[in-house]
Amino acid sequence: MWDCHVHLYGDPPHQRGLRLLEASRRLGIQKLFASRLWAGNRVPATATPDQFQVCNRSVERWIERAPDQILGNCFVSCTYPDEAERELEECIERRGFRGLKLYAACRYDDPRVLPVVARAARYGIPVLLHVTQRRVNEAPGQYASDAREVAYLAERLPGAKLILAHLNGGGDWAFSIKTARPYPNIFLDISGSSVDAGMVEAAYEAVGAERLLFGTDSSMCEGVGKLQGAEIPEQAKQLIWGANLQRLLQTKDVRTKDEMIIPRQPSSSFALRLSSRCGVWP
Amino acid sequence: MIVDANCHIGHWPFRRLWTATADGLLGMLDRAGVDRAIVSHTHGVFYRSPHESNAELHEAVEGHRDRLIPFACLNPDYAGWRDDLKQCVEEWGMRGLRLYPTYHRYALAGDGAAELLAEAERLNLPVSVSCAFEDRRQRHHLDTAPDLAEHDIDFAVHRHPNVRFLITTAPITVIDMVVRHVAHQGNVCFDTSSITGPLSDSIQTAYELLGPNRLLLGTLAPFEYPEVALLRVQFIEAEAQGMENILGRNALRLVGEEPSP
Repeated sequence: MWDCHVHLYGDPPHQRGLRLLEASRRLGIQKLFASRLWAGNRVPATATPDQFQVCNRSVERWIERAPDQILGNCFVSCTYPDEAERELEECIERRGFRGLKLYAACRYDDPRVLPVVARAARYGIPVLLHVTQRRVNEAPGQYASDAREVAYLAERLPGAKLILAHLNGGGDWAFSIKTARPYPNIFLDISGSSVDAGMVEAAYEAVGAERLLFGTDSSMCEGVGKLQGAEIPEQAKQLIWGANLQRLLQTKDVRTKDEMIIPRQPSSSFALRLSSRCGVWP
Repeated sequence: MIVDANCHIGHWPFRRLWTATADGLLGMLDRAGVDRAIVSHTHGVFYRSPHESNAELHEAVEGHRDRLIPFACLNPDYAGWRDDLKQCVEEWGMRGLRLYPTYHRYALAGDGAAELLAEAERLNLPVSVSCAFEDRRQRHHLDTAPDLAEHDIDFAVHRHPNVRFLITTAPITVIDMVVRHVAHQGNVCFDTSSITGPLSDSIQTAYELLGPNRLLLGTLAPFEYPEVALLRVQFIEAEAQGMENILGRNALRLVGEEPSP
């Protein structure tokens, strides 16, 4: 069992982190793909470069404490695109992190996001994208995306491994499944505190087992119990419990900046959007 | 013996449930290892006359009475509830009452409900009260009933000290408030269906607040995967007897069955 969505709080030996490690052992979860989102920032969406660096160094200390359990997921805010790329480079190339985590600092169709995600795509690492499941109103203090903005990235970065976060994090999960379905590079993280019976089955029917990832997002029993209870083939469950995440985490040599994955000929509407905002194209 | 104190039969208008039938529910509970369940019918939430759903419930549990324990849904603001209650208890053998005050729009501690609750006391029927069904973040825009507030529970428990209340889908915050505010509270217990764990420690907190006799396993099946609630209970640090109580003995006591030692 490999958990694709885990958060750490505070530096080790912070009590909640220790509880996480212990609960994971009890539930049989072997690996935790973990990020930290708070370091003095009131909400993750407002993390400054200083703060996301503190978060990532803290994750590094947790990895030192539990190297067999924790895999690092680098958290940045795309509202600081240059610093975000530098931190991603630092974490991936020098500190052994295995993925990128984005929160709701800005929407995923904001031109500041694409270069950062493209960088992750070049590294071959997965990108865990915080979303609301069908945005029907705005949350104060954040620019939350939903599956539509994840689809926007998927279209433009077909080589990126995009994980739509916590399908059961509250909201209309069926809307997310339907939106993500046509994009083979969008993977669905089934974590979240809601445990609607039938959700896993619906996601499995729509996108197949290969695009579903087991996760908890701090809802440990909920994450494990919903997959245990889902009425899908056992072989499919094996993929979801961990094999899919293991496959996503297989990268080429991350220090090699090989082929550009971004289409060379962007659509006219995309070019127009960039020029109307800040003119950055990676 | 594992007994689930919060299960349903019937459809839900805002999404297709995993199953709407008694057979389907039993299949779900079998898979999770649950032996028996207290059930009510979701149609009672929406029918103008909820008693119509009691007839459906009676029909649905026929042949499964060894496992499914039916609770009758009534609205004290709707005409004829005394006759309906009589039919539910005397003719159909229903074992408790199931109330939805926020959907039926009456105050649980108000004068309208008082007569029904007095009748429940006279008949020694337990009264199960639903705080909510779905997570607030994902409700359909027509699903506008508020969650049952802690003060509604406080006032009702205080006003009817001899009625045995089971409050379902209450979050830990509500349980905490009720325990702090109501001096006697011996007559109110809660199910586990909306209590998370173990990282938040809510499930352990609920156990410490309520003790081994007033916390009941509740899965909210078929809305939710029952395996989740069973996993949560495993994280409670309790004596073996306390765990047995939570998993089944408390529910059996509530419906008047003295569990075997």
